[in-house]
Amino acid sequence: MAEYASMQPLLIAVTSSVAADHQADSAGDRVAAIGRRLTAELGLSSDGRGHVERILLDSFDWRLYRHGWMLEHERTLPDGASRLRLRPLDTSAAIVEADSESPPVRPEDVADTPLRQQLSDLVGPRAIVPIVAVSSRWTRFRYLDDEFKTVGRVNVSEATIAGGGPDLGLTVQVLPVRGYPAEFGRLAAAVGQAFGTAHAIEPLLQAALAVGRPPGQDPSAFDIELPADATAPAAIRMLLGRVLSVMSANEPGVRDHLDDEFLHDFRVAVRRGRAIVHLARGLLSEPERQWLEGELRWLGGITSPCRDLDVLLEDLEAEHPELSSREDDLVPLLHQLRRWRIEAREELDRALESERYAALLVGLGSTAAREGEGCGYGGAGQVEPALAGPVLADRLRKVHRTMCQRGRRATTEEDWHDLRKLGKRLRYQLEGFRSLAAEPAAEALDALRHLQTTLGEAQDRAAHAALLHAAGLELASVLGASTDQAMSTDVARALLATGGLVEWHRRRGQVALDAAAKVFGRFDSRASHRRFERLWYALEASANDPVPVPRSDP
Amino acid sequence: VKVLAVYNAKGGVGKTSTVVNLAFEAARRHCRTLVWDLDPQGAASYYFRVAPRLEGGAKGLIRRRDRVSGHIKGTDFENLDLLPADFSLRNFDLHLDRVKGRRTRVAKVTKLLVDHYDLILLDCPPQISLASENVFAAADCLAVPLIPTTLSVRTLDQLDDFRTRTNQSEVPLRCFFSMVDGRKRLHAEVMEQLWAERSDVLRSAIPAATEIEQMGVHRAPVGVWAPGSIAARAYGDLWEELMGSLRVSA
Repeated sequence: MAEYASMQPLLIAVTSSVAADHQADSAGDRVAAIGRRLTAELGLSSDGRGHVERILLDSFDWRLYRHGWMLEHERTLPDGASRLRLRPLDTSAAIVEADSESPPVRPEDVADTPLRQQLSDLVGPRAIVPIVAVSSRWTRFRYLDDEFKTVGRVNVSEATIAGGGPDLGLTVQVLPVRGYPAEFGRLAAAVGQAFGTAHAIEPLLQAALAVGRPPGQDPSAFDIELPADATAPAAIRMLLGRVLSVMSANEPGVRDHLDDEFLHDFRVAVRRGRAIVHLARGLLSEPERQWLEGELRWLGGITSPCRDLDVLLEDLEAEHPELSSREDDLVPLLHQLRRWRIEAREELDRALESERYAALLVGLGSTAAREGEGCGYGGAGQVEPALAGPVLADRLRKVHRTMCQRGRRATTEEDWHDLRKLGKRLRYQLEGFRSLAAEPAAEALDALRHLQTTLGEAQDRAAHAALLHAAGLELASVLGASTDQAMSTDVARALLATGGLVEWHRRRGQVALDAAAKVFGRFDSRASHRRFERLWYALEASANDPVPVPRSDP
Repeated sequence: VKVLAVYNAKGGVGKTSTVVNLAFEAARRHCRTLVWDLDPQGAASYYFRVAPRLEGGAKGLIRRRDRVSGHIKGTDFENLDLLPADFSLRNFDLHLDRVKGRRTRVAKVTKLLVDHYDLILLDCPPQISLASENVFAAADCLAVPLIPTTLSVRTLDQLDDFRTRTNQSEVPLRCFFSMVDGRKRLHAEVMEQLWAERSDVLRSAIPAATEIEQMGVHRAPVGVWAPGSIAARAYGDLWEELMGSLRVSA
């Protein structure tokens, strides 16, 4: 299909001088006026007109767009016929579409067609959310050959963001007909001559930009670019601002329980906030810092039960070859865990509705927005603001040193758990400041990630085992109180299966713990220390003119 | 069903008009559809206003099947493409006879295209030959238009025999009546007889209608210029019944 793929449709923004000729007209009239020009000047033949409402859909983190696709729900007016269409951002693949009364939230909402499978593969566990809606009036034309055969198409449309949004302007789109490349070339050139050659962005993507959702940009990404001359308090303030925006972006998805990833990203933002506040001793006023730390700890704590249950249920609902024989036995256990999750979500919802949460957002916002180098750290004892790099290098070096000391002494499960928390905090802190020393920070983060994977596995298994154990005790109390023979049998089976699961998670956790000392050994190796030293050096030097950073390998 | 061949060894039974109108019905329902005009007369190509010409001819098509996508033309209708006919298809059997895998050459071409289309319709020439064997090997279903006359029934029997002899009887077959004249008693009798005898004869029937004859004048499917006509509705019904019966049997 290469020949066809090479004929890219041409989307032209009608230049302002042409559009100005029809400024006084309504949207429909402007489209019609451009159409009349196409008919008169290029001899195109009219092929209908219409009004369409389109909604751009994607996962919150743009998984479709990032894989080169665009999903739109289209409703034609006035008949209301609705279609769901997945189309490639270029012409390298075919458009996939299906009837769909309303925009889907999950791939399962789409009729059982190839489109459903393709969406499922692309978005994974994420929900499909509306990004922006656009209303367009269009007129279509055909370019005919001597046999009156269509050999090219032209669409003229004028789009506005639905709900009273701004005009997106007039566009003229020249579309190829397969097998007629020369005719397409001639048509594109003629249309370009008549209306200019300013290439337009697809109106839906243009609308996404206009409403502050740049296509492909994950609202949860923590990719802040700190200026090299940022002072330490200013850097802290910028990072807390980003924490607040990630929390705010994910909060509606958490409240609506759209998918589990909203809570995950919200929770990670809260933890990042805690890690940054922890590092801000002397950079924020101490009462303010302590208040933020306490409130973020409270919020993080509220999210924990819900997230733990999300992860455990996802694990249990996934296919486990070693557990498949017990699938039916687990039904009462799954019911119990789902009940707990509902309760945990209700508690989280209450927290997000509370004045305490609202005050935290206001507090974070005002800290982030506060003018002045000291971030409010004023009055007696005010310190001279220092540049971020050297201050952070000093502080992060201490965290790293503490981590290594604790790791060398770690023997119990508790010790490794504490080390994991410390490592995670260091990782969040490093990720916040990585723009000051991109390459060495990436190397250090890699080393941390390796350690975290093993320690995280041990912690996850321990948490799962504890949750399952608690659920088992709950089932045992149900069994004790039950007089229903059939129900008792089901619960007894579930108890046996739960016991097996607890054991399985403990064994897996122990395997991870057994490996922890070895993995920590690599993290604490001379080569690894050289990597971190390189990072501290780069952070210290970040405020100066580029300084050659010594290589980590001798 | 991905590949549907409209076939009858007898000529003038409405194969091409069926292909053109079914393709239009499919595309109208958002099915990505390709019509492959295998008939050297190129009537389907004519209806879609596409020149019946293949660069390299029929020989080039079967020897360089990797280039097939370059021969495909868009039609006036969205979701509907055409692989045009070529006069050299009159020697299709000869070309097929000279290559390895001579019975599966058409299937090899359609295999290259199935990922890009929801439906491929083959417009077959009226013959029983090596080309027909190729069509049977490529098709997921054979749709056979029958004029309700004794001779047509005989042709259907011959087709059954041929498919049995060539071990190709496992491909589902769906027959339907075409060019039906409601005033003729013979037509009614033959239809009743076949419906009673065979389970693979569809109830939808295409009438002998002026609109179908006028397709050559308009050079477009009936549904485009006479959408409310009996003929257009008949093709719509045929599409629904055909797809419904194949979904059930699948």
